[in-house]
Amino acid sequence: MNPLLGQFILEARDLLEETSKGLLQLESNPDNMPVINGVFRAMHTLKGSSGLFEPDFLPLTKVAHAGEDLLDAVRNRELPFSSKLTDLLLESMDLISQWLDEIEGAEKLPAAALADGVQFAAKLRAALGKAPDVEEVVGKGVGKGDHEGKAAPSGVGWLSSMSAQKLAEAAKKGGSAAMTALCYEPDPSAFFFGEDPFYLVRQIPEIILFHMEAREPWPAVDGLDPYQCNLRFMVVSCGPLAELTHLFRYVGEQVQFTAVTVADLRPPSPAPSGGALSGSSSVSRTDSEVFQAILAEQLFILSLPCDAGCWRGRLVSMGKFLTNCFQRMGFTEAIAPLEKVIKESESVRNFEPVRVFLAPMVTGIPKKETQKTSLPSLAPPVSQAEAAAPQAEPSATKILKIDQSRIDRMLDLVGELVVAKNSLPFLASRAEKEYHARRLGQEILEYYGVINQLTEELQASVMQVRMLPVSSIFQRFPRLVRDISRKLGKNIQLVMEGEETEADKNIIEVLSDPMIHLVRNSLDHGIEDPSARRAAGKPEEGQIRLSAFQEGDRVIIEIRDDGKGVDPAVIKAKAYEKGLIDEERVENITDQEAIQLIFAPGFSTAEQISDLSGRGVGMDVVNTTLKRVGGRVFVNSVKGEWTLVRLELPMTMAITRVMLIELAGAMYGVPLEIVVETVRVERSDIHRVKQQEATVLRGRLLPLVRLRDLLGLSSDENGRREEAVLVVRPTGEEIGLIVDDFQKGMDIVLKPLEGILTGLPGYSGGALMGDGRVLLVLNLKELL
Amino acid sequence: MPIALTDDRAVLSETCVIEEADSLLAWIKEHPGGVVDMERCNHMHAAILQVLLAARPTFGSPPEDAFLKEHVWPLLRNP
Amino acid sequence: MKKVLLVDDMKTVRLYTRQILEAAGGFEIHEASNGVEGLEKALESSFDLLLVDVNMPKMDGYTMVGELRKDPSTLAIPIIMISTESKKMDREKAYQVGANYYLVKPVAPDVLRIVSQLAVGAVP
Repeated sequence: MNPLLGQFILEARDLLEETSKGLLQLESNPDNMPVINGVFRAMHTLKGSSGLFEPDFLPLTKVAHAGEDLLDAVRNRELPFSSKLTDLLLESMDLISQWLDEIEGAEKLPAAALADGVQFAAKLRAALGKAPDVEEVVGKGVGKGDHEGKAAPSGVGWLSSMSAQKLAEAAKKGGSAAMTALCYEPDPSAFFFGEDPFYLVRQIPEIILFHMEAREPWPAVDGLDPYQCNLRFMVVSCGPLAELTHLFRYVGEQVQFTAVTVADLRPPSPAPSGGALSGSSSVSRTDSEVFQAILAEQLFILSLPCDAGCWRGRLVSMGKFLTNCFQRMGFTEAIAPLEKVIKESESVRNFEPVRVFLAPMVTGIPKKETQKTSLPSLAPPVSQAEAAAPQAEPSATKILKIDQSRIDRMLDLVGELVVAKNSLPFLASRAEKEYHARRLGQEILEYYGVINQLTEELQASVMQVRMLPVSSIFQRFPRLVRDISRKLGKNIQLVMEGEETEADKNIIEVLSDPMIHLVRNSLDHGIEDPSARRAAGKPEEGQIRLSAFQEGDRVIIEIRDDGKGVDPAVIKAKAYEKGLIDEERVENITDQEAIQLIFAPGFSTAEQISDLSGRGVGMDVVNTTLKRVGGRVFVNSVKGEWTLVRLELPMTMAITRVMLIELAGAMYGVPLEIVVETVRVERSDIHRVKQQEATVLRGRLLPLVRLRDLLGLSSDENGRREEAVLVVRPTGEEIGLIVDDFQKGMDIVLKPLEGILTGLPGYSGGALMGDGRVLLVLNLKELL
Repeated sequence: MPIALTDDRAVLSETCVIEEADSLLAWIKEHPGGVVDMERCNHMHAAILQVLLAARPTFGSPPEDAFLKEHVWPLLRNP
Repeated sequence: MKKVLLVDDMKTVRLYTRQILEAAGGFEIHEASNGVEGLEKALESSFDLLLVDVNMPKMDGYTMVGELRKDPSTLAIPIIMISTESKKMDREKAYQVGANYYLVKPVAPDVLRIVSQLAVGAVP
């Protein structure tokens, strides 16, 4: 995938999340201005990035734009915040999210996207109570890539009533740019609505033609009512249509927009299309068109007032800029004269020499019409108020986004460092014994102490980096609870506490699915609907409480609901029915124990696999998921009153020390805790006792097992004189494993096997080694 | 700022609000030879603009404000 | 090779611009994600062109450009400002602080390329 697209998807998802979170916050606290602004900015940014991919992602931009407008109205206090509004906006987030998924897979939007997008945008705008997107007003003529020479429809008849001079001036100013003609007739009562139509009109960007007239002929002065608006404004602008329609969004029905080109500005005569772009159907701009636009702009810049402080910068940088442009365009003969006028301007302290030089180069602008440049003030420079306060952001915790794989790699390297440092004591010992360098040995040990300390700290901080707060899982629940409780017609309040509690990221990841299942359980089967609750004498509003906290070296997550609880009798009956317990057990099992039966494999409480709870995930899966990472789950309940599910997890992933052994060209790990020693045994010392190979080690018989055979690998071809034997004690008895060779010991983070290897007997897990190879760790208890 | 009305001049400065439209119109009616001075005017409410367009008083120096000077002034002078 | 500094707080936008300029060839591209970083980098090494976004945290584009135009080492560098705003006021403000050209987002790829090539005087 194109990295740009990948980056966009990442950012877009973040923005959607930010928006959703903010919206939910606003529901309970609608006046929170910073949050409103934050949500608005997120939408604005999303619209901007999406715009980079037009025309492909146009629907996305449209929806984001409509959302932005809606939020703009809210933050300007023109529209009150409401639950309905939240629904609408959340729906649009969902739509965009779906589109992002589609884009991730297919790299484009689905075919229906444009229609859906336009429809949705209209829905959003309808909530503003104003005119729909101007595209309907203007007709299909306006859209992307449209600014290329379509004749104006009859809606701009008024253009031809403009004086020839005005039209000509406008044509020169507009040049090859895209133009929109607009005719704005404010309602006669506009002033009573608090509007100032003139103020609105003044904000039109890039006006190249301006006209205003009376709608009805003016009455005599005596009979004039200044408060009845009788004005009509007719303007041609080179600003973007989107901005124009946005500007007039509250009076949309009073304004007519029409896309025009410079051809429409020519007085009616059969003149062939002049100007670079009119009539041309090519979409791309050519170098010379852009060059012309740049030149014209430089003249404009020269006309702007300038104080003494920035005077030189403007002049000299313009010189450099233009020199480069001339160079690129091949107008090398203009470069020297340009330098000359720049120097001249510098010495006379005004822009006139440059202006005179440039003016004739800009097509269509005769000298006399350019504005006079203003002389730079020779007084002390005016302080620039805008330089005073750069946008300060409170430096809260600085956040860095990191690729997960980079952290994993760091962890692996740290593991290897830990092992590598362990060779130093042996080195020190050898220095002393083999090389009789006692002093050297001692110094090595000293440095080892330092490195050891540092390595342990390093290991601790890398582990710390992997810690994530549980809020990363919790944060999806407000929305989930809201949506599902409404869907079910239940009244449910969600309370969350302890979200800042941290655990290793792998553990957090593992928690995600089980928690969703458990919360959905509470929503679906736990909390009763309002009438049932009333009948039971409970408050109509049910509560689900998610708590996270630390207990020793464990993280505890509790999900508690005040619903109908678990009925031990029902559980017992079901378990008996499924053959999980026998009659005797049914008799003497306690209620507490009975409730735990829901975790038994094959139990599966999801007898109604509603679309809400049912991924077919039963409580037993929750149980095994937790066990896999060294955790546990408990359930407690009082029938009719409450249910509590408690998840216990280790805070960090365990680091296991393993001994590496070589077998048939591959490396395997054996947990160091069961390794007693390594020894090399001569062939001649291996005897056969019954069917078992064995050797004598320090006066005792040691049974030998060929690990290759045990794992079903091919036998060793090479006849060895000496066998490498790893003496292990998995369960009290010593056994010698014949391997190809030993390697060093190593610290690894043991990860459960996934995918097709899940549940493979004989292996307790795998780990990724520093060089990228996968290490399988043997579970000798199972193998032997 | 409020419009300063004297015997021979009505001076519009900075921003002129809708409430002044009535008094300006009355002044123009009562001072047929009076001059409307817009030199220091930055913005006027559309109601005031209407009054000026409809009543066609005598104007003084052109406004310094760029927008008014470029777009509005020519129309006030030659509607 | 002409050295260009892209200053914009959005990674997507920087990547978008980078791709366009890399495809055009002849540009050595550097990036900064806010006005402060942009200012530092521009003062540290000598660039042939700066493409500066207006809205950025810590220090906005206007302030950054204003500062650069005060320093003799950067007062002549061609600077193009890019913004989501197309109002005349914003364009004027950009030129007042010393920009040489002003583009409105989203900038069409060919316009971005051509303006950049013109601004550095790349020999065709």
